[in-house]
Amino acid sequence: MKIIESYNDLNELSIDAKKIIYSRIHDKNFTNKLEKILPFGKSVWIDSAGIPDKNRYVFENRKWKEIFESKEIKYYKDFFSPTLMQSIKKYINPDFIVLNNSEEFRYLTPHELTTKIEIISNYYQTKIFLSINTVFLDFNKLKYPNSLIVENIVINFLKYTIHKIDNFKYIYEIN
Amino acid sequence: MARLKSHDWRVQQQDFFKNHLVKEVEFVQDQRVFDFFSKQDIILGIGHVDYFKKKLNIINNKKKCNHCLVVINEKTLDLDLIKILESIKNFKKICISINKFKLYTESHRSNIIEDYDEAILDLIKKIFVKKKIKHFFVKNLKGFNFNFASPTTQFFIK
Repeated sequence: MKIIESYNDLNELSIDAKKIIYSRIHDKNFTNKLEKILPFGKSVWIDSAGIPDKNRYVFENRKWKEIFESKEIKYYKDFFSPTLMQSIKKYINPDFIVLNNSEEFRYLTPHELTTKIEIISNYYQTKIFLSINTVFLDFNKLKYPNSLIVENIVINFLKYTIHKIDNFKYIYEIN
Repeated sequence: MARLKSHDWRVQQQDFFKNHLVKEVEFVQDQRVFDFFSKQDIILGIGHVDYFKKKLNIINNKKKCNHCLVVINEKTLDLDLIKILESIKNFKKICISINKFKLYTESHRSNIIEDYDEAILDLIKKIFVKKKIKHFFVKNLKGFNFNFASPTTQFFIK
């Protein structure tokens, strides 16, 4: 019998296990809603289970590389690396960025989430669609209702729209 | 992929483990539950307790039990949680295992302590007055403990 605290205590997960975990992180309910509200144009999907096409550039974390078959997908090591962000801006210059249930935006406090949105928003200076599930936000859930937290996260942005899927699932449209 | 129920997800995780040449793997928080109860205990199960039936004698007949295991691993309103806890407060031995990310409230409650872990403990203390409470939680939990499969906020009450 082996007692573990987390998956980090195991060696590498199998490809099948990784596929299962990735699909659980990237909830399809958001994708359906996203497809309805996204504008026409060139987009970059980062850690968002995007399907590449001529107008859609897809980037995924290198740790998931072996679960994808498409050769169109690009891989990164560090989501916030200046090199990655510069390359996207310079060579793709997207009309909007999609961040659909990205791991980078999970298990954060509302303040940490706001900071990360600011970084992305300031750097790309283009429209951003960010889907979040409040279940994976780290705040006092006995004290504050989801609705209050969701609004507060983006309240200082000049231009934003909050698309509500249900009481827990939201898509922020920023810029 | 179809959304799996909590128990199915746990069973599926065991398949992840099987690939690691280890016969049996248990999360530390689950093992604590197994260690807390004895095999002779007849336990009332509330919530997502199926996983624990493999080693514990869990039934759903309140009248036949004086021990209780509560596993909250689905979205649960604060008021519903309180109702559940109130209904079991006189049991002899109680384990409450909560995925704290899945709790929610519908109103701003200014009287609640700001620190979330302390707030949950405070709620438990108010219900289980004069009982001995052991509290386990992971500070700054960032998902690494796979808590959405196996709750890490736990109270062992006697």
